Amino acid sequence: MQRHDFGWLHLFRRSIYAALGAGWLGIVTGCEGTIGPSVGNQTAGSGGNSGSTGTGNSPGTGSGGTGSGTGGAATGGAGTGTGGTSTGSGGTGAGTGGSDGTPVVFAPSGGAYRRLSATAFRNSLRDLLQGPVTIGDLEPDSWSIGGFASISAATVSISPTGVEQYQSAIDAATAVVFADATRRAKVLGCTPKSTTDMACFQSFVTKFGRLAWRQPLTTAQVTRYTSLIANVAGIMADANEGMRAGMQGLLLSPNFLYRLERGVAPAAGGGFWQYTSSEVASRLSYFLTNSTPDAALLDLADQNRLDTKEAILEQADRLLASSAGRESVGNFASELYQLQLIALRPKDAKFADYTPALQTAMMQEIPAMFQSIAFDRNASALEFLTTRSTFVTKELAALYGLPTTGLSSTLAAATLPADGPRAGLLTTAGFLSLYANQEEGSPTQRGKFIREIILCQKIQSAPADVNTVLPELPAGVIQTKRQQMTAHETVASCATCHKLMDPLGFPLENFDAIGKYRSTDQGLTLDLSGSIDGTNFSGPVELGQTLAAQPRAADCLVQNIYRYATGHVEATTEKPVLDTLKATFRSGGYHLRDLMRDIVSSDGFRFVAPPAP
Amino acid sequence: MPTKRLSRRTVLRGALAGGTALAIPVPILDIMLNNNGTAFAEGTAMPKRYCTWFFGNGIIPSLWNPSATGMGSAWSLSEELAPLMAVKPWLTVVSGLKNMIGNASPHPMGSAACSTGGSVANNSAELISIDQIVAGVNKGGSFPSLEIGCSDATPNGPENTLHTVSHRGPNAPNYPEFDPHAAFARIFKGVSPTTGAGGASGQSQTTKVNQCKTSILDAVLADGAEVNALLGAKDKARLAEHLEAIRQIEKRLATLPTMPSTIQIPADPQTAGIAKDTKSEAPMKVNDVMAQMLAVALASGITNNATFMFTLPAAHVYYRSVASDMNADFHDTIAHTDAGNDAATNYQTRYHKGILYAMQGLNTFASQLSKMTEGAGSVLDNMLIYVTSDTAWGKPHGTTEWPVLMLGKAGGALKGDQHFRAANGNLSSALLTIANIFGANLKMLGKGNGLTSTELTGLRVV
Repeated sequence: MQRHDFGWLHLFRRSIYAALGAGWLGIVTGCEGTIGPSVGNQTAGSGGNSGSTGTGNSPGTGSGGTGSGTGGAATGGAGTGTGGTSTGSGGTGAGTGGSDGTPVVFAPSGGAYRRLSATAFRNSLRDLLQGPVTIGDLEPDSWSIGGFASISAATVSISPTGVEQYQSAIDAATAVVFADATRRAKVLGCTPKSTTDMACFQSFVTKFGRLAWRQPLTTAQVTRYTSLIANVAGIMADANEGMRAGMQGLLLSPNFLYRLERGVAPAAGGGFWQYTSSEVASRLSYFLTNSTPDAALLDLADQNRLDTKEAILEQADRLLASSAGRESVGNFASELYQLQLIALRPKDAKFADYTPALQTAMMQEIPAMFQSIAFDRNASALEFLTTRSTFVTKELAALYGLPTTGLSSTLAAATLPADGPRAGLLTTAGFLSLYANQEEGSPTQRGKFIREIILCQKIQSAPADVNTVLPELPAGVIQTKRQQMTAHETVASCATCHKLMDPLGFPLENFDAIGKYRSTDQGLTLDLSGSIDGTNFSGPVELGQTLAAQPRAADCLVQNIYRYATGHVEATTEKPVLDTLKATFRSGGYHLRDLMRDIVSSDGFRFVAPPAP
Repeated sequence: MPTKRLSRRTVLRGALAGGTALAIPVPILDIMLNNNGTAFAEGTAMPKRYCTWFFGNGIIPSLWNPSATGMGSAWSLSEELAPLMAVKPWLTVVSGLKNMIGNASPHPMGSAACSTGGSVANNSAELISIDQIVAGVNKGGSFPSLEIGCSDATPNGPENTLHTVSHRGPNAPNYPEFDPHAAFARIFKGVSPTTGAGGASGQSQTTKVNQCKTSILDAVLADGAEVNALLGAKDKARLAEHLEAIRQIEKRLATLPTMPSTIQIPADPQTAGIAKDTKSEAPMKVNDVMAQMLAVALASGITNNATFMFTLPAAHVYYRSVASDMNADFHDTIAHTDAGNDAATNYQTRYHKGILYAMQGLNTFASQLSKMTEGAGSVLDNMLIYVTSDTAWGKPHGTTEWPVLMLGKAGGALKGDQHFRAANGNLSSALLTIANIFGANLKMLGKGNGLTSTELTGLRVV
């Protein structure tokens, strides 16, 4: 039986027929470009459009009208103002700005009202409540915009279930704190002497509220929560119940769950709107530590002293030098590669060594690899594609065929054999396992990942109504996966898209559905040759080396970290900032910490467009 | 019987007089109905209940569509609909509909088309989905709507339409709960059986605790009102949704629902060891407990509106329990690559088995509702279950002969026991028909090529 293995994407095939017919095939070579047949039927920005689901006699004012058009004018891009881009990430034509010779003038993107991502919520609670917390399930983060949870969190609404999950999570987290008298006293800062100890109530609200909301409370807000505590303490005849209610309220508040990034108008003399010191404190903190700002940042914010490049850099250096700063690249990698999905990914029962412990190790290895490159070795970031220095648990070591003596289920540094098949991200079990189905690896999914995530080239989805049904394999014929897929590609229209992806996945065919090494497929010899844009190579190690040598791999990394840091998809008008960042990254030897310093001190991080109406 | 004069309003008034902890018998009791059991004693219609029931990866049209059209004995169930024999009297098969949105990005767009009448923009459904249109007008119960499902096996694409068919609007997905214990905890939280345990002191403690929780939420709502002033229109809308969810929690704290004596709160599935599907297998035992909980929630008035996702669009599900040859990815391998076509004589046999399996799952839900009495009939008489998928014939992502079933009589609005053919009709017509059965009073529904103003009037009792 012929296997077709591209997730739902296999319909490419159809699209390819249509694409060729329409002469649509085009390759945009820029880092943010799109490859493959383009789609001629882009949908416009959504919501409230005339003729959409309508009520009564007024179609167009209908129930579908919670408008969400993005891109275009909103981001100052070159779009038509109707939003809707081929990548779904706003800013039509990003990367092509200036191609007509007109220089692009920098203008900042708009602000945001950003809900904390699940990990940021968890980390923030951990820090505010001064210890580990157990919180249960949260609404899953969305990755629909820009490839990062933290970006989607500024656009996607939470569901009623998600709100209830916040309530349960905060109930559980505060229960842990109040069950431990020592921890409780530490977090509360005072011990109420009675159910009417207003001084203690107020002191707690003022101090804890400022930490949780990342800025001082107004007098009215302090009164609101002090009264809440007194009210509940009275009803329950228990001061601690009152304090816990106050804590729950402060944490359930939108002022904790969302970060407002609005900016302030420039002082007399003009210029761009600028993020407030308070907003900068949070931007720095969530970018570099994926958690709530610490006392030093909040103090500077209160004094409005995070309004210069120098002040921002000083704090960035301080955070990057702390252990919390390692989370900058750690969580960046987790979000970009969606490593949380590893825990949810089942495999066929034949993979007996695919255990929860192995899955956990898979989720941890890649962030540790990035942290090591950036913080321990200060190596070129491009080593993430080629490094033999990695981290394993005993489970992962066993899978990799490394010695397991002395290893536990905690990550430990390890060096992969210099003549072995593994080096870098694309040979980690985490990546290989994610881009595979339950039974076998997927060259197309792996190749698509490389195009889209490593090289920032969007593989287009397909036009409609092309026949995707493939010729059947004669009975009794055994082929490797590659042979099956190569047969598919004898159809010219199929090959058009598959040639962009599959040759990048074939060199990884010596790893199975959980990333274990294999030397054959169906008992047949593997062909590990691959190519990218005319450059030929063979096997997984050369694949990583070839990709690392592609200038667009470095550019793509800059683009992705910039998105993660700023919390938005770059608009065309941010091209000058990105171009500078890319050039500096290149000339400086691809150092991640330098890049992060350059980003936080860039205009794109500090400035904001005036609020939209 | 004299007691039937007691109106629902009277019951509510009595409850209100009883104290601060309002105990509202949310379900419909015989005592509240007219002598025919078809409406409330005071003359208002009984509430209708709605559910979108979704299964991923489509059907084989030649085995799905019944051969004859018509009503009652004029038509018989097709091979793929055979599992629904017990509920044929309530079944409306609508064949011939076409997904006008197209299949350029097939499963995400198919999911959007069948649930919203629109397409996908920026990785989100661009319109509100039918269940939420209905929930907007078919109010009542503790939850405006509930979303649960059997298996979350998925290809993990970025489009939110791959993960749910319930959307409050663009970028506002309602993701189903797939964990039976979590679903139980949410749906039946605070619901007491009529026989009521705990006594007066227990209830008074609960009242106090709920008063405190409400105070907390009041403070949070006040914060929300303040920050709202600083936001742009889109962010205001997002915050409004968040705050509305908080008000819904407050509402549930203020009303302590009880179950009618005729309906039992099901056991927590956890006690029977039935846990979430973590192997992407869509186990029937998970379907069955989820179906039971949802049936009880709908019958008892805990909610009037729901979405049930047996599997997700493009589900990478492994129906291992069905047969020894089914241990393969149902989407990649079985639906898209297995030999065979859509002819009744040379069809994809494993694919067909998976479709039958889904219909068995549907039958469990529908049959249960058909056996739950309500007034003179069953809950299914007052229900409309809209059954659909993210594609027609799965292998080529067909857009014609889309699977559309309606189960239930929708409070007398649907004829039922009918195979109605709407050749080349717009799939959105089914959605428009449903919306207006529930009183949405829409002139048109959908967007772009999905837009329609045509209803399927032949299904309705006029």
